[in-house]
Amino acid sequence: MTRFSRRSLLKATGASGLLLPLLNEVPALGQTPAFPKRIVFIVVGNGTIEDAFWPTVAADGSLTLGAIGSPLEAHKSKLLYPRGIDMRVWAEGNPFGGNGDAHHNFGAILTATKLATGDPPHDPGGPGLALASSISIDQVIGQKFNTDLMAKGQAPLPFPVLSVRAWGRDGTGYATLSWTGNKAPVGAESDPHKLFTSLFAGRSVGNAGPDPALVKLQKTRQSVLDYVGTALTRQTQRLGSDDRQKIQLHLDSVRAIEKQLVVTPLGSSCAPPTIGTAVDFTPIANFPALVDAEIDLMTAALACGLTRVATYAIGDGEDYNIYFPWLNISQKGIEFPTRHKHDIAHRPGVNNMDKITTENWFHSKVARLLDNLAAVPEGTGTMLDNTVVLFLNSLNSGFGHTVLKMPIIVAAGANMGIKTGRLLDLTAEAHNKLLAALANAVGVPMDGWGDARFTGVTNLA
Amino acid sequence: MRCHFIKALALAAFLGVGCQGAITGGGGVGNGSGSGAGNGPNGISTVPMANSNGKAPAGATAGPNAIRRLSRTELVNTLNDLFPDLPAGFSASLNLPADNDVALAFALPGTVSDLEVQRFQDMAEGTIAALGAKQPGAQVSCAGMDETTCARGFVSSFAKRAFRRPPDPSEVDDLMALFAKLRTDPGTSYGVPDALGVVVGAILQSPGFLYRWERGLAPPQLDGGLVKFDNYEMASRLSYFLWKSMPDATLMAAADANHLTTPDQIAAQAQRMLADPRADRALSDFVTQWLELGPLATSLKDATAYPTFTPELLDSMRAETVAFSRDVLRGTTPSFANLITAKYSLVDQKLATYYGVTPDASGRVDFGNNGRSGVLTQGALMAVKGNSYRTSPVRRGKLVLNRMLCSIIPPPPPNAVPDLQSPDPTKTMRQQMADHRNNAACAACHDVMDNIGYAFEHFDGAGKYRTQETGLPVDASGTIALDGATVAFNDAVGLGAALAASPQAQGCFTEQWLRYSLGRFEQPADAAATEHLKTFYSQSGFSTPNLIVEITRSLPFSHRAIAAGEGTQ
Repeated sequence: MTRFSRRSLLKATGASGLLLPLLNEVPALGQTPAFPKRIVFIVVGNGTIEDAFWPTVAADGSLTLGAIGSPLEAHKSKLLYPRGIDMRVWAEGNPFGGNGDAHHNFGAILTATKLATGDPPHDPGGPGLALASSISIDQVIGQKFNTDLMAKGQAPLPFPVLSVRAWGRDGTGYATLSWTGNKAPVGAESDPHKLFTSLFAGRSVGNAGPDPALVKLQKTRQSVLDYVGTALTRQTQRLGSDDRQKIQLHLDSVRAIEKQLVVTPLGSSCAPPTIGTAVDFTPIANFPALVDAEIDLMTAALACGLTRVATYAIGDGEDYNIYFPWLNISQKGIEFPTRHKHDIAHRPGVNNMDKITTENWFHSKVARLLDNLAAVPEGTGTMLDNTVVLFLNSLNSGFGHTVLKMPIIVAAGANMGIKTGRLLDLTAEAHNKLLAALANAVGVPMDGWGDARFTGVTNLA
Repeated sequence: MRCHFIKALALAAFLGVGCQGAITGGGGVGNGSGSGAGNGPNGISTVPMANSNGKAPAGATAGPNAIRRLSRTELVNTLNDLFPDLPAGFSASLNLPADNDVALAFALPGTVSDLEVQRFQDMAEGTIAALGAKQPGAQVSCAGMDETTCARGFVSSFAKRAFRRPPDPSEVDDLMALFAKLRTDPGTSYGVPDALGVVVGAILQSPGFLYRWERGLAPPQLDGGLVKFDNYEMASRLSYFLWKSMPDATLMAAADANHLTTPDQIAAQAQRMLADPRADRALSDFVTQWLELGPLATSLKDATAYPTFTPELLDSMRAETVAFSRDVLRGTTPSFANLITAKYSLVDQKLATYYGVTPDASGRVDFGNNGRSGVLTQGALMAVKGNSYRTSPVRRGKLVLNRMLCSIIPPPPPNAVPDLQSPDPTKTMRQQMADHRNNAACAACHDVMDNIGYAFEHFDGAGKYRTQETGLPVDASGTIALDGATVAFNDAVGLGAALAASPQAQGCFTEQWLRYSLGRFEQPADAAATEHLKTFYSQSGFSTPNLIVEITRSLPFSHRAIAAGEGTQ
């Protein structure tokens, strides 16, 4: 079984072997082109070990990373650790009317509002629905980017937000980060083969014309979806308002997919990655290959101008189905013979070593993303200069189910206006404010985000 | 999501939600309000069903019915019925959107986003491709006919089957416009069979197929202050409840003839369908969800603790529970009590060896008085609610509370859940859980769950019977609060007997079936029907098939509330 390597996935172009981005901004003659801002949200669940997560500050002011953070050593000058961000919308007040189990807080992370109330007698915090009650910030940012492009007479990006996940429990609110509104989850792609197809199939490079068979297929699909949209519109007319909202979501997505089907060239400087031999990503042993492939595809989508916002859920809030056969886990599991991530969260191991080992591995994947971004030249710098990455853990303590002092890293490049290479101590700062700060950093101005009780913007400069 | 072993007792004093307060008998909603004839005290009707002519009596109320998609199972079965020529196993292999679990009730499909639209596209295109020359558009002969007339005839009749109702002329117009575009657009220019094939695929992606929407474009049938489901809607309500698939030709003919209007007519179809083997799908789907057996296939066990366990046994265990419950529910004593107390089962050879029993040629084994009690102690439930090397009294107790008493347990409050201790091999599970009882913060809820869950301690985490644990005799005694009293038991047999005799448990079982049939929780507006069904169940000798038929006669099945903002003209 062939594992993906970064080289095999990203086809080399030119002497540098790097992808070149599509320039969406057409500069006036003689002006340096401005590259668009990008943002990536990466969320993992089940908490950390604080002592090994937070860095210390060396005498020269640089960061000394903890045992968990070591894979990020090469990028530490670009890291900001905001210590003291609280998920106050969860901690204060009742997500369901009882104390919600914080393993089910994914729906509140990027929305920063309380979850929607469910049907009684919904088990508060149970696996039932855990649906968000409002739109998530990645969707707002992605929509704003497209609105701005269209206002300048340019084509909108086919993927306002690229939603990706690695495992996690299908069909649950606590596996879903991205929401278009109240009780409206955005399904995230979890299969790299399908992700590749939906990103790159039918998009030709430079002067080469598209495959005629593919053009016919895409035209057929557009006609079919056009009919489906008509049928949805026709039948929605008499429905009650709740039902009409559900159908509207379907209609919105039909229209969005129709737009993605337009066969557009990517521009001469973007080469779609080539996929090697088909890998079966279903066994957990291939989880590392899955995550690598998804990170590489997200990078390619960003670099090729298909999107500027990526939202990535590695696992979900409970993580009963993520095991680590490729790592050395010392203790046997309670619920399953090999320890899954939830079990490790509740029993971190002798000296917390199992928890540190696994969290360190997730950090190595964030390092991969930063390496990828730094490998794409943009002007005199790289795509990383124009990108901010939010890496967030949905819990502080996996076994305490606590959401205060969230384990968060903000990785930002030189042009983002964020002062990095430091530990920023804050006091009970609502995570709403951090999200608002990131939106501002990518050119989506706002005075606050989510729950109106926690308005304001964290100062990251 | 459970309270764990406690090392130190330095916990926050204030819990927030007391456990006893959250537990309500018989479910939290729709818990029977009115009594006697006429309107009850809240103005909520006490009428449980429509009149014999099918009309809602004066002052009748019913809960809402939200629009929903076909579930994954329903889609798979519907595709198989719509396209008998599909290769076996094809539909089941499709990557269809997952359904959402619903605590204390049954999984429901969710909303649609971009990803789901792509999955439905894959489903439709894949189905037409898999059918090859047998796709319906290629079976049409238009010889000697005007192409448009021929195509329209095909599209109308296929759409009626796929939408489960006659299509409106405007809906056929939409499909014919697509057909014409596919034929004439230079970018596509399909031949007639291929164009019709694409139209079939479009129908599979359309709301008329994907949603339970059998009223179509017509205004709702107002009846008193309610909406009465029309004949086509009723046909699908029956077929998706009992067969998890589209209506058959007999049901559609009954709908065409308006013979699904009165409670008697509806019940007659329900009887016919229950007698059909296809109703096994509802029985097994209900039981496997009711007992929360979803994660069974991945409930692997530790080889050291359970050396005779193999993963293949999980399939055998699921098969046992499905076969046993089918046997009970189609047998001479098809009751809740029999399901949870019967002292026999149906096992394959692998499972028989594992249990250490000798079944007869049909796979039947009589256990006698060896501590077993129906589905409660079968391997499937014990293994799925067991851990990899030990039991889980907490999860077993919680299942009984949630699914047999319809009661809620809140989750542990944050910061009250400390690091777990490592297991102590010299102590029994019960002894190691002493801290749950000794700490007031945990005991509030754990006293309730654990004391029920101990009933199952004779069955290890891999579903095998045992008399000892770490060299100490098993103590399976406990208590359960039932019908306002505390009942003590010595083991699972005692627990089963107590539940079997409990009106509260019988009532919860009724509610579970009602929730399953309606795809929603019972609401206060359904109170009359809910109470009637509970009484009916007990007075009919607790026959579950009779309950199922009575549900189809009841008002929440035949009528719904008018939805806010609904256009009724």
